[in-house]
Amino acid sequence: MIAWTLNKLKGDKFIWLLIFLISLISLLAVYSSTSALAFKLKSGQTEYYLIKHFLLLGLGFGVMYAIHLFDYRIFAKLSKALLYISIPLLAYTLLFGSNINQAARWINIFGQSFQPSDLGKLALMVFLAKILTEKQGVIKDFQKGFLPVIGWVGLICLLIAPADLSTSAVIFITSVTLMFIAGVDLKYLGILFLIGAVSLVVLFNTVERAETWKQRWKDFVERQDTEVLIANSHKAGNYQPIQSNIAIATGGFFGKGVGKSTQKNFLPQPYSDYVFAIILEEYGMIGGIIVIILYLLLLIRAVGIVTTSRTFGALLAAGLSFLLVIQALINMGVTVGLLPVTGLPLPMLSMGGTSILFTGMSLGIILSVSRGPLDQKKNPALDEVEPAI
Amino acid sequence: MFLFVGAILFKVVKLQFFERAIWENQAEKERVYYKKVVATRGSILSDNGTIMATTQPYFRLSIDPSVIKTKGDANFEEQIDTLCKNMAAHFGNEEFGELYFKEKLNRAIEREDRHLYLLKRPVNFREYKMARNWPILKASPYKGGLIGEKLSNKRFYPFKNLAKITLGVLRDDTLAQKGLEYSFNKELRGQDGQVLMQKLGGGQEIPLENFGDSQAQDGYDVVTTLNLEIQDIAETALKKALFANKAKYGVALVMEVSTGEIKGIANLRKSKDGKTYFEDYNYAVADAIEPGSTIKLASMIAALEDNAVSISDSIDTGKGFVQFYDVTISDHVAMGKITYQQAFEKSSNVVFAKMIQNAYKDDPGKFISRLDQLGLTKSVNSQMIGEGRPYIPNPGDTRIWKGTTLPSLAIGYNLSVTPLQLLTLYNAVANDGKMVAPRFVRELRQDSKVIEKYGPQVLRKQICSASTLKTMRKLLEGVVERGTAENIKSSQYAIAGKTGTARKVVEDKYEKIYRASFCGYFPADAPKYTVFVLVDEPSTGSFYGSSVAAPIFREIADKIYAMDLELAKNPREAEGQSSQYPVTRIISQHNADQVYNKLDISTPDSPEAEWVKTTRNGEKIEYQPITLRPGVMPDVKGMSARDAVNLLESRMLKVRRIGHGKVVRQSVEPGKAVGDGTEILLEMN
Repeated sequence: MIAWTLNKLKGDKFIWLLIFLISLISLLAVYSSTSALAFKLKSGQTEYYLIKHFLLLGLGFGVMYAIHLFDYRIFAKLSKALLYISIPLLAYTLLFGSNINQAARWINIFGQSFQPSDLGKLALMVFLAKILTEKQGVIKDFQKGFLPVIGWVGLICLLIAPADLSTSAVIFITSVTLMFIAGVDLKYLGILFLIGAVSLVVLFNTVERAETWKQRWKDFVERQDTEVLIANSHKAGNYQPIQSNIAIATGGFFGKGVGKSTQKNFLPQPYSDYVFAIILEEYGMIGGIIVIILYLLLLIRAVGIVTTSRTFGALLAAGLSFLLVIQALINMGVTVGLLPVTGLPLPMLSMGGTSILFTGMSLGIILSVSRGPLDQKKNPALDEVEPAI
Repeated sequence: MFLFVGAILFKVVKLQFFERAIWENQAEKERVYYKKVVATRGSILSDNGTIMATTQPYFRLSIDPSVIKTKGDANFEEQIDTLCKNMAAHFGNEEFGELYFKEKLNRAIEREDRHLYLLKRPVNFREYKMARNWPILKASPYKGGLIGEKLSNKRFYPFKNLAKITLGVLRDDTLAQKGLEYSFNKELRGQDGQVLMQKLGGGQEIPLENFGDSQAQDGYDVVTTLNLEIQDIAETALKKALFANKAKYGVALVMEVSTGEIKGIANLRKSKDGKTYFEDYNYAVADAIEPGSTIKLASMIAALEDNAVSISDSIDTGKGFVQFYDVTISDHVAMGKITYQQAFEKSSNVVFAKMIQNAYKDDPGKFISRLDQLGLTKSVNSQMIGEGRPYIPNPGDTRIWKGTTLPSLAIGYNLSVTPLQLLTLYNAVANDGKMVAPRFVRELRQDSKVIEKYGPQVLRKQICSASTLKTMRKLLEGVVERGTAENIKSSQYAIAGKTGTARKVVEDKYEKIYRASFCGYFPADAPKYTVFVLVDEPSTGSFYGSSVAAPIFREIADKIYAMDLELAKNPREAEGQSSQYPVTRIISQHNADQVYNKLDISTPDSPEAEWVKTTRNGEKIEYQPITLRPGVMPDVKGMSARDAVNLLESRMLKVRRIGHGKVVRQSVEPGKAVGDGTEILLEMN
C-alpha cells in the first residue's frame, strides 16, 4: 500500500511527507476546536466537522496530486489568463462582495462563498515568476526590468488592500522577496518600499475601512502592555487577544493534551484564525515549535529543490512557498500578539474550503516543479518558457 | 524571517513562563459556567380556564453595546432616539428620562462595553416582549439586540385567598409545599434548562448563548375542577356562618354528582385574634374526624343490606337513652315508639346503637366489611397528596375493640373519616350507587394543547342494592321534609341530606363542645351537587347540625341553584312555561345580557335602557325598554330577588322580602302611587 502510494506520488517525497504531517496536525486541531461549534450547530455531532474537514483535506490532496502531474511550465502559459480573470473578480468583490466581518472579501460562485484574493495571489505569483524569468536579461533596468513587474504587483495589491490589507501585505512582501531573489536592483526595491509606505499613508486617509485599521493599530500598540490589556478586558477589541493569551499561557511547555483545550469555547473561529492558539494550548510549546519547523522545512525544501536559481521553476517554487510561509508566520504573529488582529487563516492547518483548495494548488505546483521539466520533446511549446536542462 | 520566528517563540516563552500566573488568573476571572434557567411554572386554572395561580417570569434587560454598528447606518441616530424615547416612556421617570438613557447607551457604545444593563429593575414578560420590538433591540443579540436574562419566577394568585389552601403553597415562589401546587408539582414545574454564562470583571456576567437555546421546558397548566362562582359561594356562605357562630373552623365542599368534580372547597380557620377567618389547613382533605350522625347513612345501608330491619318496623326508644356497659347513649329528647324511618329522620342515637348492636354483635367483622364496601376504610384517591387516613377499629384487636365499640360506630364515634370521604359516600348515593372518586384536576395543558386528561374514576360500581339505595334516598329526603333538617326545606327544589352533631374529645373525654355538620345533595329528584358542611366548635349557644351547618348548605344550594341555568330549567314544580328560553317581566339589561350570553342566545341590539322586559319572538329574544314613572309602583313580579330589590331601592322604597327565588307577590299593586320610604313586602316562591 505504502509502496504503491509512494510509487504513484511524483516529485519530492520529503515535501509530500511535510504536507502529510501538517494535515495530520490539522485534523487533530480542527476536531478538537470545532466541538463547541458542533454542539451549537449540529446538536452535538462532534464528528460532523471532523468528517467535513477530512473530506476538504482529501479534496486539497486530490487537487495537489492532479496538478503535480502536469509539467510546471504549463502554468506559465496559464498565468496571464488567470491574472486576467482574477482582476475583474477582485474588482467585483471590492464593489459588491458580501460583507463578512466588515470586509468585502467574499463573493458567491455557484452558491459557494469564495475569496477571489486567493486566486489573485496564486495567479500573480506564477505570473511574477514568469516575467522575472523572461526579464533576467534586463533585470537591472528600471524601465524594462522593474516597472512592468511592479506594475502588476501594485495593481493586484491595490485591488485587494481596501478590503483585506493583511493579504495585500503578504502578497507585497512575498513579491518583493521574489524580486530580490530574481536579482532586481536593491535601489529600486528601496524605492518600492517607499512607495508602499506612501500608498499605505494614502490608503489610511482615504479608504473608509482605514478607521478599522487605525483603531486596530491603536489597540494593538496599547495591548502590548499586559497590565493595560487586562485592565481593559471589557473592551471588545481586547477579547480575542486575551483569550488567545490565556490559551497560550495555560498550555505550558507540554500542553494540556489532545482535546483538552478550554479556550476553544471562547476564541472566535478556533478552527481557523486561532488554530495556532489551540495547538499551543493542547500541545504546548513543543507542538508550536514542531509546527513552525514543519513550515520552515517546507520553505527551505521548496526553495532548495531547484539548484539553479533565477529560472522559472525556481522562482515559482520560491514565490509560492514564501507566500504560504509568510502567511503562516503572520497568522502565528497575530495569535501570539505580535501583530494586530487580521483574518488570515493558517495555510493547510485551518479549516476552510477556499483556503485548502488554493493551498493545495500552490503545493501541487511546487511539487510539480520539484519533478523538474518533463520530457521536452513532447512539449516543444514549453521550451519557450524554460529550456529543459 | 528567522528573526520573526524568533520573536514568535520569544512571545510564547514570555506568555508561558513569565506571565502564566497573570493569564491563569484572568482565565479564572472570565470563567464560564452553566447557569440554571428556571422553567416557567404552569398555571392553575379554574374549570372554565380562568387563571387562579400563575407564574410570571421576570427578565433583566441587557445588550452588548460593542457589537452595535454605528457606522454605515444612516438611520442610527434616528433609531437610538426612538429607542430612548420608548425606554423613557415605558421604564423611565422624572429622574431617568430620554436623555439619561441616551447618554448611558452612547457612552457604552463608545467604550465598546460588552455588556450593559438597560434597566436596573427586572421587567415582566409583557414588557420584555414589547422591548424586543424596539429599534436596535430587535436585532439578534450578536448584533446589539436585546438579551433577556430570565430571573426568578413570581407566583400570582389573582383571586388572592380564594381556595388558597387547595391551590397550595409555593414558598419563595419555588418550593411547593401544599395543595395542588405540591400534588402536581412535577407537572407544573417543567424542566429547568441551562445556559452558558461568562463572568466579566466587576461582577458582571453575560450569556454566551441565546436564552432560547437553554432547553428549558415550561411546566404544564393544571386545569382544575374548581368553579370560581361556586367556590366563592361556598367560601362566602361558610365565612358568614363561622362569624355568626364564632366557630373555630369550618369546611364547605361542593361536588358534582356525576363526575366527582370538586366545584368548591373552603377551609376556613379563625385567626389568633379572632377577627377573621382564613385558609391555612385543608381540613376537608387531610383531617380525619369522628363524623357523628352523618355516619348513620352507612349504618342504615348496612342494616338494610343485611335485612336486619325494615324501615317501617317500630322500635321503642324508652326514656331516650340506652346503656352499653359503662357507656350511655342518649337522644336529645325521648321519642317514644318510632319507626326506623323516623329514627333516621329524627336521628335517634338510641335506635341506631341498638339496631347495629343487635344486628352485628355476633359478627362485628361483617359490619366493618359493610363500611369497607361503602368506601369508608380507605382514602378516596383524590389526586391530592396528603389525604387523611380513615380510622376504623379492627374487631380482632381486643385491646381496642370493646363491647361499646359497635354501638359507638353506629352513631359515628370511635371511627374517623375525612370530610372528603363522607362527601364521596353521600355523592355515591346521589349518583345511583356509583361511587366516583373526588377529583380536583381535569386535565393538563400546554398552551391550548391537552397533554393529559383525568376522567371520572369509579371507586365502586354499586355501593349497595338498588332497593336499599331507593330507600336511603327516601330517608335522606325525609330528613329535610320532616326530620332534623326541616328548617332548610325549600319550596323551589328538593334537598336530601343528613345532619350531624358530634361531641369532641378533649383529653380522652367527650366534652360539651361540638362539631356541627350537614351532608346532602340537591335537587333530590335529579341530584346535581353534593355538599358537605362542617362547623367546628360553634360557640354562640346553638351547636346542632340542623341549626348551624344545615343553613349553610341551604345558602350554598340556593345560590348555586339560582346561578346554574341547567337547574333553573327544571324547577321543582313545573310552571308550564312554553318557552325554552327564560323570559322575564322586568330585568336589568345588564343581567339579561349575562344570562342570554351564558345560554348562547344572541341578545338584541336593544335600545339602551337600564330596565327591560324580555319577550320571545320566534327564535329571538327581544328587549322592551321599561320606563318607570317616578312615584309609581312598578310591576316586579317574576323578577329575581336581586333585580327587584335593586329596582325598588333605587326608587327610594324600603324592601322586605320573604323566601328566595322569584317575586310572586308584591304588597303594593303595580301602578299605585308610592312615596319615598314606603315599605314594600315581596314574597318569593
